[in-house]
Amino acid sequence: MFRFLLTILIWCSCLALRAAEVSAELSTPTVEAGEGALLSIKVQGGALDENIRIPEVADLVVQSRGRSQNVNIVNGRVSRFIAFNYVVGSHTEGVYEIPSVTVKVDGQELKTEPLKLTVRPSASGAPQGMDDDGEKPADHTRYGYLTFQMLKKDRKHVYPGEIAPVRIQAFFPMDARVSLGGPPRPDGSAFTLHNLSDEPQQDMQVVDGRRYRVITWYGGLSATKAGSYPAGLSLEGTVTVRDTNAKRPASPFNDPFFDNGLMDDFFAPMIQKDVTLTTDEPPSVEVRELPAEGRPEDFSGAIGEFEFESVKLPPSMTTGEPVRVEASIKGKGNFSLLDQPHLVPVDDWKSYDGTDEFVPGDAASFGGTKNFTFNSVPKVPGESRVCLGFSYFDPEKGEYKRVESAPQDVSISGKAIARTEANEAVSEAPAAPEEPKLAPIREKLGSVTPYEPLTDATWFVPAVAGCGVLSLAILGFGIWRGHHDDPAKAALRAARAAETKALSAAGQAADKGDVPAFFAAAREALRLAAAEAVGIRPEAVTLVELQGRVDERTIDLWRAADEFDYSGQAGDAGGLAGWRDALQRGMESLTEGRAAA
Amino acid sequence: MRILFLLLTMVAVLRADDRFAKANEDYRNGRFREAAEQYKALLENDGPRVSVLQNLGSAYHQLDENGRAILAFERALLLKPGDADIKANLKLVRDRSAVFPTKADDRWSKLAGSLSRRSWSMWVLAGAVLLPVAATLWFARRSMCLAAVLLAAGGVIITAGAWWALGRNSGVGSLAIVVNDDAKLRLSPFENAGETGTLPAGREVRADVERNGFRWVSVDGGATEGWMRSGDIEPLVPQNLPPN
Repeated sequence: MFRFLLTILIWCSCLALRAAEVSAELSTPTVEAGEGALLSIKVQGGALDENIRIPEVADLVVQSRGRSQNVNIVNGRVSRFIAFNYVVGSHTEGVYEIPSVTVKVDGQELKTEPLKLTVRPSASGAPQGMDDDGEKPADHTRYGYLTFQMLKKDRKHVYPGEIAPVRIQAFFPMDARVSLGGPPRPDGSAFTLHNLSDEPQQDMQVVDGRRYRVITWYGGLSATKAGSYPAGLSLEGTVTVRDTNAKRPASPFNDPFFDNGLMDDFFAPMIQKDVTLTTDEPPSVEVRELPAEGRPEDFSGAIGEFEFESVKLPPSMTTGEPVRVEASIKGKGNFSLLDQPHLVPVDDWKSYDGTDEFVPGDAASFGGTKNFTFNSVPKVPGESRVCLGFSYFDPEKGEYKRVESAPQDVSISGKAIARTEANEAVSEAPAAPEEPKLAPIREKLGSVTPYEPLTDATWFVPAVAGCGVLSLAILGFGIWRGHHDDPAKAALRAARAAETKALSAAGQAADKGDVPAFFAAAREALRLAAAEAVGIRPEAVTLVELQGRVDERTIDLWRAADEFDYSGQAGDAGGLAGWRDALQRGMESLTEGRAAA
Repeated sequence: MRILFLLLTMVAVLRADDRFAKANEDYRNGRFREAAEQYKALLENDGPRVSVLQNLGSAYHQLDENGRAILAFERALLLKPGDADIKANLKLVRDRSAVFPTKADDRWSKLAGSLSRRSWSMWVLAGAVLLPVAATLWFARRSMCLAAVLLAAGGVIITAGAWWALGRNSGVGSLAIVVNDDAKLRLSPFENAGETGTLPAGREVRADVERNGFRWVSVDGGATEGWMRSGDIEPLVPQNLPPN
């Protein structure tokens, strides 16, 4: 295991130590106008610092085709390269020079050799466009194909803003490996795709006796302008299939078993191709303008089929006091343009913009429920029958419809609010839906407010970091100070200092031969050390506390010091060296006991 | 020196007030082009103001230049996100231009968009300042330890929340609005390159690098992409598109 890890480590080191190399090559030096050659820029032995930028050449079209990475280990030698692929070509014939490309690898700038691409006139005489512009493969079923159906097949027309539910299916050969370049996209600008399912369904189907892997998306097709347009879609991807047309050399075994068609398929080389699947003969869809005739004033652009699911209104209220209104509208269509309903009679209420939430009922968010919550102020007192209303356009019938909820009886108390007062009360509210007008221009200039946040200022990050550091510093200082000011710890520090001082005094007295001073200082040092070890005050320490904690000689020292103190006799200075050793051992014993405690 | 500076500032404000009043007068009298030019001059000389941007948007709408009107209202909303008048104006112009917003409308996006980026950055700073204040309170009055901890927790939550909101709004810098009608999307950054689509004025796009007088733009989260003439779009935050 260790050897294996060591080998891996050495390989990685080799990879890291190898000098970086960069090269560029074209798949072919000559292409026809409207076709492309594959340009590969290979980076070997290093990590790219920034994206590669191909210098611009007039009339030369360069489109990225992603990148691929290879790691080869041959006889213990590791080589790794990343290839950045581009399709280059032009609609105009001529000889194009692709300049040297600068690549930043591991901090150093490397350059590729310049390349030449000759673009010949197109064989057909007309520009064909790059192969990703919608050109289909010669045999489209070989790489797959794309289909598109409107879920309401009887409809051949749509309206701008309407979201028509569609199903998009991509068929790929069952034995192909497919890597999609993104979701399907509409061709041209007449349509946009909305709410395409994030996780398309995958299943298998047999078409004309051939097995296909089918990827299915559901979404909404929305027209942007009136007219008649082909609803074409395209899907980019990379397909890898077996090239059964490639000739295989005869079997060396000279056995019919190895030369049959089954083995041909098995041994056929894999070919990879970037393909753009397009809808074959896309259906033409007529986009009709929404009729101006009969358009309700409160129409907000909602197209589909909607109805009230529930409405909540308090049964009693007071004029001038806002009440909370809740409404749920269910149906199918472009819910994004469905505005909050308004109370009827409109003139008796003033409503404010509230909040809304859409709960999708299907994968394409075509059907579902939109819940509105907003505040309204009643202006007219009395018993009233109130309902909520809104308008939408029914694309099936081609007419506007108005929906009202079931009327509710409400009791409104208070005084009637004059129209001007109500207008003043809601002057901050947006323009009423029934009278779509711009809000009045502002008369007060106001202050200058930069767009940029303070984070763009150079001082901002240091200031925020400084606040953090300052708070940590205060916290640390506070903890240190708390530790320093603890009375018990202060007493301990004082006792240790006195102990050291007494020991020092004993040492000096022994050196001078001052017997009284030595015994006094030695007994003081022992008392202080014993007091800390036992956990009592130094004045309370007696011989009893020392017994069992120090050796007999130290006990004798204590006794001698006592006798000396009480008798006041002058001792013999010649024995002080022995007493000094006893003091040393006694202090060590007490210190060890203190540390163990 | 300080008095001189204050005097100069007051004179500048008074002059801006006069020019704003003159522009409003032109607007009320139907001289929308003159009003728009004066609002633009005010923005260029004095800096962005909500009032000037809103009135500029209204003037452009009256001139039927709805792409620029939407741009002005969007910029005003950047400065004052919750303003009901500006939101109503923007919705009105969008509806009339058939430009449908594609922004995410979930509650987190609403929360992050409820304040301007500048306001969020101020909250970040305020939350950060609370930390040393809490530490000082704890240091000075140990009896108020709980209050100091709560204050510090509040500071951390405010800073983190505001920073999150700033991050969520950071994509604003690459947004741009199509200001010319029927702006073409092309395959390559050249006039003779093939078209891949057309975008209406007022449409919001995400802009990327510029090449040869064209910008790479994408719409609907990348569903539609291509090169568009740089003059056909204006950045939402002025001078803030990605560098070349």
